[in-house]
Amino acid sequence: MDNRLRELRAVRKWSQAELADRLEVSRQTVNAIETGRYDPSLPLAFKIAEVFGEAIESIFHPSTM
Amino acid sequence: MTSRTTPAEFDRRQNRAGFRDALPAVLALVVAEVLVASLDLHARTNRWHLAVALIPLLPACWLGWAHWRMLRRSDEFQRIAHLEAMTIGFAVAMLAALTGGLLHAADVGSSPQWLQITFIGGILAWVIALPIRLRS
Repeated sequence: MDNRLRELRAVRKWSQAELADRLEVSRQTVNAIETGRYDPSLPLAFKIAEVFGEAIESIFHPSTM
Repeated sequence: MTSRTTPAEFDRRQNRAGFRDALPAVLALVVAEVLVASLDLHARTNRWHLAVALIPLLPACWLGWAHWRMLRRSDEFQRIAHLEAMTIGFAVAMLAALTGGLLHAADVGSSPQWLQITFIGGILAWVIALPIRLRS
């Protein structure tokens, strides 16, 4: 699963730690999602969408590989 | 984009709680191990012999409880990483136990030695696997 987390975070000039605090998860988790090492659960994906004010499908999309 | 790697408040809270839970248990375990090791249990044959020998189990259970609480505080990614690391530690311990058993049957080493190697091997594999899985 690909995602636009890093791009959306960059636009808002948030650090991984700041985003982690908003999502109430660890910085490791934000990093793992950004680097594609971990696909979040549906509840966390909804929370990410809420934090960025975007629809889930605009943030996460099937991997092109 | 800022790229600072300072821990999030979530991580700081988690670390503080982890230390608060685990540190006394680790200290108690070390004290209990030293205490039991300093007693010559081989020479004792009274009924307290077994109870004294098993004293370190109490802080070990305390440590297990601390770990359980840490797992409960973890987020979803950390919980999976912890469980995967524990799985690797368990597999190494099982393999070490089997190897120790086979070698003991061939008269190499003693049972206590193999038990210690099994325990240390399992814990080491677990402790090494965790940061690798959590790397960021």
